Amino acid sequence: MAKNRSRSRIPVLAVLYIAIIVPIIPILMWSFSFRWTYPNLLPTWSPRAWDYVFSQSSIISAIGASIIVSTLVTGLTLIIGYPAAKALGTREFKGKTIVEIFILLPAIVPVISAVMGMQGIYLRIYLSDSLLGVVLAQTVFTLPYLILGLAAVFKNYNMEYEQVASTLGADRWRVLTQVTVPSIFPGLVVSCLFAFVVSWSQYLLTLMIGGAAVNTLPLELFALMTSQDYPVACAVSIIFILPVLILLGLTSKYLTTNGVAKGGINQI
Amino acid sequence: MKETKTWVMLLPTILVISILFIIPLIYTVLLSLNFFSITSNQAISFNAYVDILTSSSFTDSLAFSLTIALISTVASILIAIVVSMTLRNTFIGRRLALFVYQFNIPVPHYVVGISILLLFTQTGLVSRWFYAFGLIASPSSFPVIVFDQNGIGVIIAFVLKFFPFIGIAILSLLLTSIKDYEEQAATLGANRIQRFIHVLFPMMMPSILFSSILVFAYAFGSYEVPFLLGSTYPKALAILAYQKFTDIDLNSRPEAMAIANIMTIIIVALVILAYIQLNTMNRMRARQNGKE
Repeated sequence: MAKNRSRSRIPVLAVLYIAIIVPIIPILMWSFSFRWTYPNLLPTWSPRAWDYVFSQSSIISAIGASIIVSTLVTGLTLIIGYPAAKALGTREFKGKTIVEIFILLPAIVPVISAVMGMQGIYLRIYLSDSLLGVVLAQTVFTLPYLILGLAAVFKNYNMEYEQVASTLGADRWRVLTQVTVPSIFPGLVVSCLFAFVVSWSQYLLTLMIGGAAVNTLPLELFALMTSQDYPVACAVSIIFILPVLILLGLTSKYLTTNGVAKGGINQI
Repeated sequence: MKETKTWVMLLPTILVISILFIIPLIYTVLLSLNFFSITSNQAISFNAYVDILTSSSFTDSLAFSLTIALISTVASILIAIVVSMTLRNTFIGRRLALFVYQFNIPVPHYVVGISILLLFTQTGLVSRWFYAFGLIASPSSFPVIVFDQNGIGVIIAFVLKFFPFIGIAILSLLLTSIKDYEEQAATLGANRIQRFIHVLFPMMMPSILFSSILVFAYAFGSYEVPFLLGSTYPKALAILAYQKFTDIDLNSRPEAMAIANIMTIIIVALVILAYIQLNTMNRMRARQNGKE
């Protein structure tokens, strides 16, 4: 039986590696190309795209804007969502399923369905065409991921430690920083990472709420794709996914062992 | 230390989602019913819905988006099960395989879309490989995979993104809670196929159902991927809605809102059905556990 398994393993692994690695090839090659005419298998190599990316101020400022927006969104999402995640993870109460579905709504309702009305309302409350408006709009869409992920982490968390600490005289702040956060830390990091990634890749929402005022990296990338400047678009794509992959590398062990994917889904 | 009330803990989230998300959704419904119209005296009008539901461009788009979402979800589930079943056993090189498996999870959908575009257009990289091996004589004899009417390019991009997402959920389940049950079944004489059908698959169902709903909703409502890879006809619903919304003719705005609301209704109905199903499954499992 063991032999049987290893025989079926090789084709499965081959398909997995091809499916994930082959799509990286054209992005890498185009980013180092000057021109690439059919049917050449290799492009005319050139560092033009990379020179352009690092000298073009609009791209550099878009990287900065993306980092600022996604960091603010992640922080705000954590502050707003943390108490809700703790309540959902550690308590049973009436109407819990309805609350869960309500919180899940922004993750499942298509962005296009919500964003038209959001544009109108945000305009009325002076949030459109501003950084604050974009941050608040993105926070709505990152909340479900953070809350459901973190709630799952809290499911396996023992509340008694908190009670012991407070009986021993620790105030709320000390319980939070010295008991709760250390014991849920890996799950907390993965949940924040999910929120960051969801914010980092928003295109349509930023376009329609931010207008011309907020130019993040996805907006820059779509402008490049529309003008069919593939070499620069590919260089920007690589810059775009690098921080995310570094974060994945740091946290990948949490993803499969005790992380969000498992808990977040088991919880429901 | 007094315990904080549950509703106080939930309040910030519920307020933010209500004000910044639910109110806009209600506003969209009112706009689609021409509620704020200055030109007509009529209180509400269903004209936008009548116009939309009787136009073939909408019904074709609806069929297109539903088909694409369904095919990419089902294909992703099947691939996810096979890959996760393979990766749960230990073997040399498993750590690398696990890293590769998770690689696409944080990569944005449209970056995957860009590489599908560069790979599969008629002058794309795969077409060049085919040409080099003499399989095709000119780029025009390469099959139309991107910008095609069946949305094959869009489906490929979605599947590459979705199968790791569903798969990691299945895998972490396989690595922990299910193992004991499976061993018990094996001791009782169940073979591999019986164990899969009667033990593993039913236990995977809640995870698969939940992640599939997220994935299906995403594929159904995505704007970016069909923008990069979709055909001019039929358009994905999100593209059709966006184009009507940004049309110079302001009369097409209520139609855009009507499309948006129909999309919301379809997705919310699906999720409620899925939750009812999940609750039934959980209750059945609780009852079975109670018997033991």
